[in-house]
Amino acid sequence: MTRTVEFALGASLAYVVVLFAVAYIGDRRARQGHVGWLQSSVVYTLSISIYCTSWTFYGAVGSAVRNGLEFATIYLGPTLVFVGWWLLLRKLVRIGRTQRITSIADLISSRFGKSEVLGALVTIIAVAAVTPYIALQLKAVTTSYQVVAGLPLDQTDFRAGFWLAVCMAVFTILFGTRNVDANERHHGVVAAIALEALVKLCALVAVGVFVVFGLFDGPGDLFAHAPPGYLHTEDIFGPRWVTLVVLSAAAIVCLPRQFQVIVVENVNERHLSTASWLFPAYLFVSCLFILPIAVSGMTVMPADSDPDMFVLTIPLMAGKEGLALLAFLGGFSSATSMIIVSSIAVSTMVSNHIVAPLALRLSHGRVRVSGDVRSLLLVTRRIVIAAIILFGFLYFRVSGQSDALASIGLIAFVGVAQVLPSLIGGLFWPLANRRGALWGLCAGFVLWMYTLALPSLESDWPITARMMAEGPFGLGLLRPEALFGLEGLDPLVHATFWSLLANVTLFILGSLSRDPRPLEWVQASQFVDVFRGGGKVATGEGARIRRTATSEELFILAQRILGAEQAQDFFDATARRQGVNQGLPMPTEDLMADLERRLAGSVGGASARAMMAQVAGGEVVSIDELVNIADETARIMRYSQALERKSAELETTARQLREANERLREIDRQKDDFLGQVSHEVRTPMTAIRSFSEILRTSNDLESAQARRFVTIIHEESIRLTRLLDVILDLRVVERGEIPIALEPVDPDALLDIAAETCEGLSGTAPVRIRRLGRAGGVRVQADPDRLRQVFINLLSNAVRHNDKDVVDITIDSQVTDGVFEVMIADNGPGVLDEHRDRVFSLFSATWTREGQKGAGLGLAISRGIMRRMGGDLTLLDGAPGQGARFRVTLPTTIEEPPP
Amino acid sequence: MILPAFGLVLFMPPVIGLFVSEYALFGVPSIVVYVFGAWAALIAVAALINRRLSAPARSRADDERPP
Repeated sequence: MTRTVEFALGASLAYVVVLFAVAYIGDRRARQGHVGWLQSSVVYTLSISIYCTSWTFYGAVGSAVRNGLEFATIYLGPTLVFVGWWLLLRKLVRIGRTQRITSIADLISSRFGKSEVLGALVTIIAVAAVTPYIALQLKAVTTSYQVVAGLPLDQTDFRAGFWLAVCMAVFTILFGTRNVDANERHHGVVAAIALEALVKLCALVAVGVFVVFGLFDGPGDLFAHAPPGYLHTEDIFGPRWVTLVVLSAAAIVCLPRQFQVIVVENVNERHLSTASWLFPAYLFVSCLFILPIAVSGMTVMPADSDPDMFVLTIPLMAGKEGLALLAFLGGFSSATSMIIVSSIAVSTMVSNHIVAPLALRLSHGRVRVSGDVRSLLLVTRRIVIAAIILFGFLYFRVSGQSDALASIGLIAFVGVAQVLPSLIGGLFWPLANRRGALWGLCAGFVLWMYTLALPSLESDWPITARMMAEGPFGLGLLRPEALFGLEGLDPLVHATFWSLLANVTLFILGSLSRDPRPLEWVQASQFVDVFRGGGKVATGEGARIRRTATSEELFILAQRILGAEQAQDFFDATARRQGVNQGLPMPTEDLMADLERRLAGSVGGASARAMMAQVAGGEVVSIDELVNIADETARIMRYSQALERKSAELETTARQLREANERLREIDRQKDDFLGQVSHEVRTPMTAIRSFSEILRTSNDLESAQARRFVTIIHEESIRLTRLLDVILDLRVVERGEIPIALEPVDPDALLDIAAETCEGLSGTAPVRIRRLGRAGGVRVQADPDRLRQVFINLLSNAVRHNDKDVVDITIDSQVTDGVFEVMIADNGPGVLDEHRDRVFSLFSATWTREGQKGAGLGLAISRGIMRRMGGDLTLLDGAPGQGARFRVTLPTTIEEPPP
Repeated sequence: MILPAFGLVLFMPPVIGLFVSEYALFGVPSIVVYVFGAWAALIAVAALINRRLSAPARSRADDERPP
């Protein structure tokens, strides 16, 4: 037995030595500029896995024994957050880098107008949540040490816990407080915790594989041994399940140590995208064997054994001491890495948000020496680290024997989740302001203490027991675990519900109750719009804030905080950028904004602002700048409205274009039809001319009479061709409105008679009968007689040509009404079909005439063009189908006499 | 972007309650298979998306990396 004790002690000591060595080497390599693997995304992911503390290493199995799958919620929440890194984590990391955020307290305080009060409040919450958490780690290590060493468990041996606390304090102070600038990464620490992440994963997987394949015959056999009814209950998927997923999702962002590794230690945003799946995969693998270990513990271990220690006791019972030692080291490393990073994060918060503001107030008017603030901060941090770990140990010492510690993990989760509303609101809601954050945080903090932290002390503190049962001062309505009579809920769900409800409600109400102050407004725009150039405003112009200081004062301030060497470097670099060769740079706004951000990286935003205010006077956010910010919004709105209008206009134009295009297409089709018709018309005479001239050319022995006949035919056909071409020419002329028309007073009835005579002689299969009904009787119209006759002949010949009857019967009726001469020409043909009525007068309408194959479809279009040029009109009258077509020609009358 | 919402639905009651049954796959209870299967699928999709996203972004990100 003593051999095991020595062995376990030796192993843990050796392990600690290895940690120191790794941290030392990592730090040295980083200092020499060999950052290489230290900055890889894998190391980044592994460092995030400090989320898995010894509470999860040992406690997850215990939780799996008691509540089945419930342990998985603690890992599902972070998985969801990381899988959705694009939404929240990316913004968080970007802000952390541009604003040089040092901790979650710094983030909240910077966002809400660099408020010192908020920073301090978040720090207090963090300390209250983290200290018992550290105690839990110490307890876990102590218990596991006792198990491995074979010491009886009923008597806690505090020595192991104490020495572990001392070791961790030394390690953290050595490697965690080398630089005062939190943005200079702790490479050594990161390297060490990455190693620890690997150790704990390997240990858990090794134990798991041993259980599944060593103790049992594969997973099927293992689950066959599970107690009946285990895992087959729906009860756990209730409010507690939902609450735990939400809490763990909040914790992965809000826990000070998680914020430290995810945001502050991040060197490259791209690492985050790798971690978005690698970290969930890490959690997945760590969880894979929890259930098997739990099941096998329930099967092979005695009934009264502690399920929280199954990871250790199962290998021990199976006689695998080496495996047990590995498991012990795994638990050890998960505890140590958590303690290291938590204490670094909390010490930064305490020194920047509690000590620094206090020191600033107290040291007012004292002598200022170069580097005094810097050394103050470093000393503070070292003391705080030691103090926090010591407090953790004391907490463990006081409540070590009770079971109160076991629930501390979740209690801490609820505590840090109180920061979530302010964080999310601050990142996405520009109107969120300091008052809202303060109200929300205070309410959440108080309710958390009252409903969850206080009851956890129940067994140690006699007053609480009575208060729990009867409420404070006997007020049953205020019982901590059944607030306002809300009974029957799990205490954790109850506390989460009330604290977060009050927190969110007050946060929103407080934010709405007043407008953001100028500085809050500036910070809000930089945080909320960090991806839309909000950050650029800060780095670029920096002219939002007006203040004055001399370069000497600024230099002294920088020296006090950054140390002489770094301050000199910073001012030299700025001077070079400004083109100043010697001495200090000009005290421009840029310099002051840069310096303040640089200082914020060391002391936090609120303190940096306060220090700048001491030398440079209070910053005044000029009204102009605020107006500019407001203008920007207005401009964007105007712009979007203009865009909307433009797009509506475009739509209308597009529609008009489409319609015009449709019309063009139609016209184009008509033109094609027309050309087809014309070429057909032209080809017939051409063929005749060609063949007859061919005969004339080739045959010499032609009779002169026959030759004469041929020539006559050629002549006639040529005339026909000419006529056709004339028509086409007319058409183009009419189209352009250039038809030569010589107006003179004429007698329309006489022209009608001539036209009728001409048409009676038209040769056709059917005899033509033209009847004159009425006559206008001696009226005169202003017209070109040739053109008018042309119109009449066109109408009459149409009537003859498009007729299917045996006897073509045409009636002509003319009269004068109200000074307008009017001719009606009707036939007994088939009439115009309804669907063609619209197209009869269009220029290339060949459709209507196509059936007859006789015309080119030009006549009516040209006729109407001519009539309109002469001040009259040509219209098609409505008629019943089968009644024949009726055309009306109108012309205004004149009293002028025709020329003699 | 839709992945976390999708995962939330998968892991929240009532969907998750559907898989509590006596049925077992190779001797492993169905609810266990479901929780870990859905989890693994979520990680796989996230990894796939990450590869898609980072391939075009890589060259740009390299330029931005501090010296």
